[in-house]
Amino acid sequence: MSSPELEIQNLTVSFSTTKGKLIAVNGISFHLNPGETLALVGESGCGKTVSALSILRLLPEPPAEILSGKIIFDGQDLLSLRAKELQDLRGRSISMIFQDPTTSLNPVLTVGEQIAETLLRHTTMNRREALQKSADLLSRVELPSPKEKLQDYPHQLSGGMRQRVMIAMALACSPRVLIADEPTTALDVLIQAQILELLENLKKETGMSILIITHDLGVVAEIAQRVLVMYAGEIVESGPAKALLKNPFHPYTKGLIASIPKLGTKKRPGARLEEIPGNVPSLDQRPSGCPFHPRCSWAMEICKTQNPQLRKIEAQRQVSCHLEPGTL
Amino acid sequence: MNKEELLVVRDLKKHFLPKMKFLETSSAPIRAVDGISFILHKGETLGLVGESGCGKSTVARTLLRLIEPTSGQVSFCGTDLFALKETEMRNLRKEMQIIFQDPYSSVNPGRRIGHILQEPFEIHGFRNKRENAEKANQLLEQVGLAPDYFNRYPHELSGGQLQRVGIARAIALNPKLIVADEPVSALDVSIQAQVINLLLDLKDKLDISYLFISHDLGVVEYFCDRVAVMYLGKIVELADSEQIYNSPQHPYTIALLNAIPSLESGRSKQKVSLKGDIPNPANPPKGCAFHSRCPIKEKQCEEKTPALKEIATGHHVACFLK
Repeated sequence: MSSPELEIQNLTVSFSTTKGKLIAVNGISFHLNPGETLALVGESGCGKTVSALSILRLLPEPPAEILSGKIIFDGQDLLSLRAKELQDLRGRSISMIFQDPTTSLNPVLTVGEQIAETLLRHTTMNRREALQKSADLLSRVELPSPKEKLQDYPHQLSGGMRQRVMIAMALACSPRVLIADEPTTALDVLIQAQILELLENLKKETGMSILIITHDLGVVAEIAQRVLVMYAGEIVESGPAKALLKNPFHPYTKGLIASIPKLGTKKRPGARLEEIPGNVPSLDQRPSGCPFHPRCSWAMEICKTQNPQLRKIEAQRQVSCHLEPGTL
Repeated sequence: MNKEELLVVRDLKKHFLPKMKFLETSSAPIRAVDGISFILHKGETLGLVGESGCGKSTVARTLLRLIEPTSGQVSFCGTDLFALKETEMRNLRKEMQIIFQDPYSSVNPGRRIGHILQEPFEIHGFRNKRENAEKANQLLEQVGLAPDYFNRYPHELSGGQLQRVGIARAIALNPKLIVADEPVSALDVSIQAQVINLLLDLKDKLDISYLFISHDLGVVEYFCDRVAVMYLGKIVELADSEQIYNSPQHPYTIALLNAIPSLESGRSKQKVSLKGDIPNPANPPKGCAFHSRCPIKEKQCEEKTPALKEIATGHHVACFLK
């Protein structure tokens, strides 16, 4: 097996708040293979975005603090780099796109200026070349009439077009890793389909790896090869997307899949959706033992006191649960 | 059909006039809702789906006269809503309530939950404080919240819990109709199912009819008896839930259904993703508003606007080619 493109080891992130130091990400480890699309799935507050932002050190520190861990990229630990070295890396080797394209673009700069900025920072191009290349990038993300769009300001574009501009910016320096934080959540379903297709095509063209963060299992099924499911700051299950969605081992994953109304499954009169009882625990009310046990219908005595370790079930499949796999 | 008609909407229009720019003499109106008609029967759940900007929320607000319509007619239990005076309308709002998408921005953050739930009674003239508090407590129980939430503030609740408060407030006065405007879109997946189940339970228990607005076709199929698909201020297809999902007719409906990522099939289904964005409602395309994105358009679609016509019992489509 080739060595992973990006490796996260034992990452723990905390936030200082008035309620004390709260752990948002609790010792997670995972890797991203070259050319792979890996999905990080979970509900709001589970730590998926915090994990992603830590990779590029984009969290405000303080209040955030990376307590432990290593992020290995290209043979070096990103957590030991100085600010200047990180800036050289961001946007060139590892790029990121965000959920809300409206707030992540600068409203007072034209689209062309914003894309060119990345190129001017990381390459030896002059302004004219950078603008030329920006137009090429816009046509690569299939924006109609890219030359004219260079002069446009973000507010003149629709949500889907802005997300395309963000992707063009992220791809400007042909990064090896693209981190996409909920890239389609703010978009309508038709536009979401367009953007997912675009990401897929671009990945094929460039061979980059994608780490996609989402709460939508449909998006996962559509685009990811491998999935990590997070709950309360921990990875509770991981595995190949198809197998995991078809046959989940963790009660939480199973509950998530069951609670989505699926097309084509006809409603019987009086039928109810399967639901996961309770609420996502907030950071300061972390349950003891397995963090999922108060909501789990399979919970046993041991779950209340002991947090299960992530263990291997099959090749490539891991789960952290006291239950025997296959019980569900 | 012998079902009782609860809400009859005829040719409802709402045009917004944008602020005029400097030296401009007139500006083109934004046709947010451009002539829609439908009937909601008693005990029925009608889904209204479409992309953002198609006018579905404007329909909701216009129906309740939270914003005034440009033209059209809405009758509720036989009363013409747009002919009512403000005070009469206020009285009638007991019968028709709304649940909003974002539970946080639809409650007063400075009031306790108990107070928020007593407000409907106070507004509608129930003066007995002790009784009102008692009713508020019952409401909490009905939506599955523990009694100690009575004294909490909105910020102490999670999104799902707060949406339950929004629902409790809507059912407080025993309405006949609830307009639910994207009630679960802001919630986490595992909480969505809880809230949908709650709405279903209440429907049976309290005999409520819903107008359910959503962009999520999966949720709508699960929840609704009939579905209306909107595009650019118009209804393009209206039929029983089963007909819409099993034999969609309008190319827009087909595209919407195709675009939903499915857990099982992965990439196996054929993808016909639509190109382009929803057009600007201030300057909609001539003819059929959908022709600029339609994969099967013909010459006539660019010139004439298709009317909604019935192609099978209860199945209405606005397309020349069907």
